[in-house]
Amino acid sequence: MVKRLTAVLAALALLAGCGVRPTPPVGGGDGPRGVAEGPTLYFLQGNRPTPVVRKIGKLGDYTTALRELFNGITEDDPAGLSSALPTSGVGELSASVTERNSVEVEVNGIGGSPLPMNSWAVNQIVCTIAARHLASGGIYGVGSVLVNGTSARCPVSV
Amino acid sequence: MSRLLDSLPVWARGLRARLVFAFLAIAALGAAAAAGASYVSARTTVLKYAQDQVMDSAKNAVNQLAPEISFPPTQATLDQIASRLPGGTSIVTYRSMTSRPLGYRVQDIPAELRAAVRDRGVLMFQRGQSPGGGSSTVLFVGMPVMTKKAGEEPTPSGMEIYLFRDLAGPAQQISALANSAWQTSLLALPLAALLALLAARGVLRPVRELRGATRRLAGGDLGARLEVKGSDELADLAHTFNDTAAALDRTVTGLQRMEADARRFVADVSHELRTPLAAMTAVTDVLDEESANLPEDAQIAARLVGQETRKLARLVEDLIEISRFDAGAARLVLTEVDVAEAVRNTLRARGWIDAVRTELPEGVLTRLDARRLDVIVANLVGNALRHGQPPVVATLTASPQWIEFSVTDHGPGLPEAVLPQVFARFYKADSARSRSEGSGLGLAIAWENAQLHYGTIEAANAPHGGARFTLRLPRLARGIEAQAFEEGGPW
Repeated sequence: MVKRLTAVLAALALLAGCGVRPTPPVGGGDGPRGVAEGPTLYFLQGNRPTPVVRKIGKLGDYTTALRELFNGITEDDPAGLSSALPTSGVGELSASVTERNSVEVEVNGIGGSPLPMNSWAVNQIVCTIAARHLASGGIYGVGSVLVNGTSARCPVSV
Repeated sequence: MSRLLDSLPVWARGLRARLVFAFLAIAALGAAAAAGASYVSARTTVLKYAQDQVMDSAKNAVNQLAPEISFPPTQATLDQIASRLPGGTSIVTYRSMTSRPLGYRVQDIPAELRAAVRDRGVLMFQRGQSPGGGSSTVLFVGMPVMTKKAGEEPTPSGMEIYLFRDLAGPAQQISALANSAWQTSLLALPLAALLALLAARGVLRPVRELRGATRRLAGGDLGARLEVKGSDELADLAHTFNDTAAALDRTVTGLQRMEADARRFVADVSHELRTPLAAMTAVTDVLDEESANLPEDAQIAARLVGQETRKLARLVEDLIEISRFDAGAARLVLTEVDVAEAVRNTLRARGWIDAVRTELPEGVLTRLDARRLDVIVANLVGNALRHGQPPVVATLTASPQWIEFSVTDHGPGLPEAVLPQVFARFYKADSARSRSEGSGLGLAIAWENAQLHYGTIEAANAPHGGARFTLRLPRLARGIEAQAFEEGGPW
């Protein structure tokens, strides 16, 4: 009797587990990222890189962020900001994600050779690119951003 | 348990069948459990893989698109995103705006999923009924598109993307897996049956051997022994059986030897008594002849001595006869005999022909030992005349297989308690008459003689109350003769 009952229960349990059954909502990790009103650019307040959102209507790619940064400060931006980036002799700008999930930034002069920049300028570039990288779900850490082949870090949290 | 066993058909009650059933049940349960477990794990794996694929591809597609999505979006933007996402089942919402429906509306998405996406701000999925009204289960995925402000954790941007994928493919895969799991586990059953049969054979062979040895032992082969193999319970049983058989063998052999010794002793004593008795008989004959010349006291004494000596002589003769039976030395001398004639000769020789009423049909011819028939008839009739009341009736009936000779008297009959004992040696039915004429061996000798003919003598009481002794002898075929000679009698 007990045996028969056990068998029936086992069969029921097996049958109940058949097929693909509905579930309640289940969490499946973070959602996708990357929508924004524009890239976040970093200018200097004193010596400290400070974020400013440049509202171009979309996040845009890495090079767009870099180009907007080189375009400098507009009148919509808060007062007291400055930029250490060179304004003349700037040639081709590019920033792209490598296969190793790091971002290589190239800032060339008119002649195609790397443009020399001071460390404030490099900080601005690194912070801007890091922010852009994080904005679309990238991972930012040591060696994530290379400026003209040299690894650099943003001094503030992006 | 035993009631359950009794309800089974006969063929299923054996140890073998029970073992096979038990093994099959265990194998079936095991296989079912294994199949169930593998089915469940396979289902989980397949579903997880399928769902992860759907979610990853959707998330990647949105990640690719997102930087180019203008924000805050317009209705056109939402429609465009929905159309550019793969699968063609996407709905994009931003606050109260919803992309143009592609065959199903935002209401078809489970409300709880939408609430969960809004509340928790993470990617959520849920299996549910197909919004197309189909019976198949589909996977709904809800994704909040995140945005990140500098120095902060990502936050939901307000844009949400919902889509669903049919799970028919994975479901089919799962059922295929389940079927193969079942089929594989069914393969275990014949194997289990084979194992059960092997196990049953291992158990049943010793049992069969034990049964055979027990039968041999019961049939009188005291040398029956089992071969002890291994050291399990069955080997223990075999060992015990061997010990038992050995003990029995010892006991029976001892008893047989003692019995043989006792019988030999009786035979020897009887033979030793013969010579002095012959002398004594001769002397008493002389005394009888001379008794007329003796004084009266001496006459009485002489008669007494004569009587007792004759009785002793008959006792010794009977003892010698009995010891021949015991030694297996008794032989049948078969001749063609007319039974009625033989019975009349016996009665005539003893002088009882007028004291007995006979019903003897003529012409009953059969092969038997005439001397031994004479002994039997004389004994039965003599007993009836001595212990019963007249009239004594001797009746012969015959069938093709048997002759039946019965002697009935009209006395008080035999007490019930005595009936089983009357053929025992020296058994006196009437304790008051312990000094009767007979030696106490007459019926025993008659019975042995009947046995030698493969026949029987039965003691019973006739309906009217007298004792009735019935001799039944088979009408021996010719083959019995040779057999009787070979075997030295039936026993």
